[in-house]
Amino acid sequence: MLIRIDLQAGEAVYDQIATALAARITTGELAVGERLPTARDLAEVLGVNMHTILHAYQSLRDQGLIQLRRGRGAVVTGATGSVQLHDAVAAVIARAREERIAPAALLALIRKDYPG
Amino acid sequence: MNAHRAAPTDPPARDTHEELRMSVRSPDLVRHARARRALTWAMLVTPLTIVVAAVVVMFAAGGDPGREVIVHWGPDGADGWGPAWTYPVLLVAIGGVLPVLLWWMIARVSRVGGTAVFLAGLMIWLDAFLAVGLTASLLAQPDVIGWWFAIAFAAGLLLAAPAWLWLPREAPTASVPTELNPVDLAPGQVAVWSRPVLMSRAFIVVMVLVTVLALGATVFATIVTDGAAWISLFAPVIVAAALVLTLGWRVTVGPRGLTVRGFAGFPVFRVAIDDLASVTVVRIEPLADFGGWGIRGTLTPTGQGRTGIVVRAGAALEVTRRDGRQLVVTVDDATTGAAVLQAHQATSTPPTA
Repeated sequence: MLIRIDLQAGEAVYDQIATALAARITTGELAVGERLPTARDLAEVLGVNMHTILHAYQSLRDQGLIQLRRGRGAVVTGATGSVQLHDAVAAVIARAREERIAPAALLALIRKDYPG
Repeated sequence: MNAHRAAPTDPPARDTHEELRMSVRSPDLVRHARARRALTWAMLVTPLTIVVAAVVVMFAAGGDPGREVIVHWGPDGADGWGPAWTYPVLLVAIGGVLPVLLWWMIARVSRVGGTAVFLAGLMIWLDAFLAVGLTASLLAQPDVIGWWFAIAFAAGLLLAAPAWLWLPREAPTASVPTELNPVDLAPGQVAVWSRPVLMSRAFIVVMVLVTVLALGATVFATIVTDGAAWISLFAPVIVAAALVLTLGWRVTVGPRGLTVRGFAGFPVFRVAIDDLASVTVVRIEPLADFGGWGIRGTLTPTGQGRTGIVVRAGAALEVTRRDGRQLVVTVDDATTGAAVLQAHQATSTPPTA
């Protein structure tokens, strides 16, 4: 698991961590059942407060992406909304094929409205 | 001295190539072959010769192999009887099998280090001890066994000492650094990499089996000795604890450095980014590089401490501290972890003196 965050950006650090981890979970890079590093370890190597990490983990839990258990840490449970999202993405790809839109062009279309 | 080579009658290119191949045969390889051959003599040939010699002596002494003899001594003298062939069978079952097993495991390692040499001496000691002790017990059938075992113990040390003192050891070679793909970071950006690492299932199964067998053996020993051997019960407990504490690790790296934590929450190993001199990825051969698995200590070629967290062979993250001490942890995708550390090392300013 590799994530990048910007400690000096205006966006809250916990939000950046949550977003980066959510992306890894949605793409399957962090598989269901896999454990996230402990909040203590992440806080230590990042040089941020442990509560910042816990805040990010709570946000991921509220999105249904992970489960938080005392003593067991954070375990990836998968994205509840991702089934619908996957279906929607599949529909968009099918449509792009129909209209003979190249993958790069489709990505550019998405990036234009959803720059992240 | 190569003047004749310049003559127009030079041999075809293939021969020159062959010669070149011979000349690049590294002296390290020759030394390794020599060290391994010496190890085979000490670990395999010598112990087995001792065992064979003792078995020959046992049979040469004559008597019906099935006759009743004393096979067990308690604190008050002889208290167990059995057929005479028990002795050679016991000797071969332990003294014959163990060196072969160990040699088979060790002979494939890429470097003959201190552990291999120690184990070779241990095999000589064990087989000499068993050979002298068991042969004397069978032939002399003494009333009290203690003295014979003291003599056997000393005989074992005497035979093993040359192996411990003079067997050639190969010095650890400097690890070959791997080319890393740098992790690009925008200004103000930091990267975090984290990865769990677990012992292979096969290794865990074997260790659990060994622990269960050891527990069975020590419980049995405690029962038959009416509790006198209770202290041996600690052995399987210690093995189980060591296994639980070292079977899985979480490796996390970021702008502040590296943390390696056992799955149980401890032990923890840390290297702060300011303390980091260099980071790379190396290939680890547990037996050759660290003498085994788990948390291991050894020395770098320059004589500094080198701690290994070793759960398997293969790629490992190797960090060197400013004082020269190293921490090595076997982990998948170690190149990414190393690149993240390197990226932050490059951006962090060293502490001013």
